[in-house]
Amino acid sequence: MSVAANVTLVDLGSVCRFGLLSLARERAVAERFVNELSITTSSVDTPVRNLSGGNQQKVLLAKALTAEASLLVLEEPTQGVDVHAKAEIHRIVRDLAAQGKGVMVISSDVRDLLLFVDRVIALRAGRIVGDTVAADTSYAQLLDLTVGAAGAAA
Amino acid sequence: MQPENDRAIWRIYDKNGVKQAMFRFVRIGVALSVIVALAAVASAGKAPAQSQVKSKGTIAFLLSGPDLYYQDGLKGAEAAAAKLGYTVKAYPNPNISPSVELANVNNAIAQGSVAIDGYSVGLSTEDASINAAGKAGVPIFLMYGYSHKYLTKKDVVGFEQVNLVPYGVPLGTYMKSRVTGQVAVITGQLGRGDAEGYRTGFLNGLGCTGNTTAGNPTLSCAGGKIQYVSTETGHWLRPDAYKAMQDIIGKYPNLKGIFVENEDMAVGAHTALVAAHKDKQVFVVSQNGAPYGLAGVKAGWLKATDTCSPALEGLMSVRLIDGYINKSVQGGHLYYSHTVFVTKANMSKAVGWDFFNNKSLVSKYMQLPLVKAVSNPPK
Amino acid sequence: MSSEPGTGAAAVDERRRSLPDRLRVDIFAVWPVAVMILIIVTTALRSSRYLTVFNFENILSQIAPLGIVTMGQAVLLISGGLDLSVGYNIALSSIVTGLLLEHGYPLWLAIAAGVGAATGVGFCNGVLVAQNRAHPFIITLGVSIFLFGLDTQLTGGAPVNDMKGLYTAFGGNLPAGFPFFGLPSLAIPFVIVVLLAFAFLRWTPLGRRAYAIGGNEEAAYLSGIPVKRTKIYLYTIMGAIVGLAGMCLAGEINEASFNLAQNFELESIACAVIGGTALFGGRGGAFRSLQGVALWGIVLNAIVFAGLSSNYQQMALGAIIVVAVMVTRAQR
Repeated sequence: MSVAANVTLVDLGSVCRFGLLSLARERAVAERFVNELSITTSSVDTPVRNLSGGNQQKVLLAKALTAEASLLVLEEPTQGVDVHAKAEIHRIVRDLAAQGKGVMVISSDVRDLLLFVDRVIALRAGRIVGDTVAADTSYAQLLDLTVGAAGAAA
Repeated sequence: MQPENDRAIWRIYDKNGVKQAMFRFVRIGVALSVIVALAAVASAGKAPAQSQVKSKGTIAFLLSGPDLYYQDGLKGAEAAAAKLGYTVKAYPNPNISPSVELANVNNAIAQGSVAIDGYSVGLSTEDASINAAGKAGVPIFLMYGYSHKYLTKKDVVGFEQVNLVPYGVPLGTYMKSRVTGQVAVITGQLGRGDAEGYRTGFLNGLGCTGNTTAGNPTLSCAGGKIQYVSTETGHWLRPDAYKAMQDIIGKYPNLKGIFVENEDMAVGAHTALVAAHKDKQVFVVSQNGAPYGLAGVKAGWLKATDTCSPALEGLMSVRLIDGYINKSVQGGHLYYSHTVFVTKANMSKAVGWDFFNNKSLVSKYMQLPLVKAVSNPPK
Repeated sequence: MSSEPGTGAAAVDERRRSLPDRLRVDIFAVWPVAVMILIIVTTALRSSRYLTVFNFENILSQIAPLGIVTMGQAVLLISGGLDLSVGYNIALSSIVTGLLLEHGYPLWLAIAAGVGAATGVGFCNGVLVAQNRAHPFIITLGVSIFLFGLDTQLTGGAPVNDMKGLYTAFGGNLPAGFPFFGLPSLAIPFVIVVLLAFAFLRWTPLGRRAYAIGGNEEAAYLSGIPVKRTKIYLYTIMGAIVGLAGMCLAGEINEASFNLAQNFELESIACAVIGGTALFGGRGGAFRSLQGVALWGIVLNAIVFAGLSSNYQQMALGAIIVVAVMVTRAQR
């Protein structure tokens, strides 16, 4: 399916007129998200499977955004994505937070996580071993908590 | 998505409703099975009531296919069995499957049938069925699917079928004197023994010169007055014959005659000719003598048909089996079915497919002399 | 404007869609048309009677019932499903209508009951497919076998020979005074169904969901698509289409019988696949499937006009199916 069809899939009702899809509205919605999320594609008609991994990820994010939810849960949003796209995703998440939306990111890439989140909750074997403001902690500290000696003691 | 879930159609289906919906289907299923079972009991209850004397045993009837022809063959056999003191048990094989046929034969033997009658699926299946019956010492009689190789096998009562080539001849002869121009054939299936036999007979009757057995068009017939131009396939089905007729009339718009190898297909071909406004131009002949065929003769669009009653075949088959069991009939023979060539003038001569509903007709056909065995069965 | 950010990657995309590539995609999409033109030209050279309005009207009427079913089958295939019960469901609708007409019920009631019966079967197919994790292949096969028994039970194997008003409506060409005068009557429902199928797939949320489910059912489910309900809708619509095809075929041939539409299930799947519909869902379209149907009808008819034995009809169709599968794979 095309980028446009994918982006609008979650909330088809919003691009309908009289119960039928309005392809113009669909394009408009898709192009808005392509711009906002800087999705690199020659057009919104390009099949999603022809996009790079990072851009596919962003299309997925766009799908989630169309639901207009106040809380977003992102699981490994930056996995398998190149550096450029990673930065884009960081920016998008920050923007969402700035709009007052709650964003919960689940990630095992701790170094990357610290670059864009406000608060970190460290888990070890299913238990919370740390809960802190991101600015107050460091990669080494978190590593120690999650896999090192400090976490084992907690 | 949530609001949509509240729509009525979804409600019977969602969450707890799923179980209810499923129960509803189970209930419908149970209800349907009960109806089917009741129908089965009702129809099974009728059969023994027909026989006044104590049963001399059960004749198993191989019912290969759901078509009217086979159904009426079974009913003819049932009518004769009731008179002679047998019961008939049908072993249906609706999908014409060889493995089902062999299972049916084995079941019939296991259930103590005194004989096996009916239609086989095909020549290769027949071999296995005949061997199984012979091994168990159960006499077997088959309608159609004749091969001289099987006549000498143990407990083969014989075969009964129309005499294929001569059966087609009068249709050709009749058309020969009434048609000038192009003539074609709609066959049931190319290469199938009976289908090729009918066509060969028709072409011989039409006086065609050349290889009428191969039936390769074009042939010059009736001293050049008629040209046989084409054979197309209708798969014994009306819709396919309809298409075949459309194609033939498209290619030969001046077509003057057509032989359609059964009346089911003839009805389809006629419908196509009506749609093309060619029904007055094309002279249609066929074979069967089915109710819808005789209706066509009466209506005038079917000019001639060679009739053969499956019910009469079924009736004769049971009489021959009875004779074999009583040792008054020898096994291993081929019999030719009673056929009547019919036009509008002599329609009443045809033996109906459904005479089993009429007691006096059943008595009449039960008193006909037994068909005579063919003295030199073809190799 | 959408290509403004990251122009480098966009350039790659542009290169991917360079002229020869775009041309190749087009050839893949319209190869049935190319083959049709080839067949029409060669057959016209062999028979002077071939290129006539009459003959192409015949082809149109020959493919219309199968074409109507193929549209529904294509929608199901796109959604990752299929329906093997269409042949005996067409028969059921014709039998219900035929028996009611035989007993003197009015035409509208007989048609409503026939189409209703087929739609009901479609709904049952939908519920069974949605509710079970088994492949629709085996579910609809089971329903098909059930219907075969039901059809023969209802008629005792004997055909209904007079479809009365239905035959008047569909058994021939459009009468004078009608628009498109002279075309086979079946052309009207056929064209309507093709246009509706096209509109359905392009402009309705349900059609869009069919693509999504066929492309990736899990992802569709996670995107909030009511997968089960969508399937029930799609199979029910298929049932209605099958009922319509039943009316068309029974009216044209003037018969209701258990063997009215033998092999329609596999032929409709084959036609949709020849037109480039993916057998396992996600891709395809109404006009593409229409190409498959048209090629099917043109091949069958051309073999007659070429003067070849009708055995070649089956050989040619088999070969086309195999080529179609290869082309669809190469296209991917």
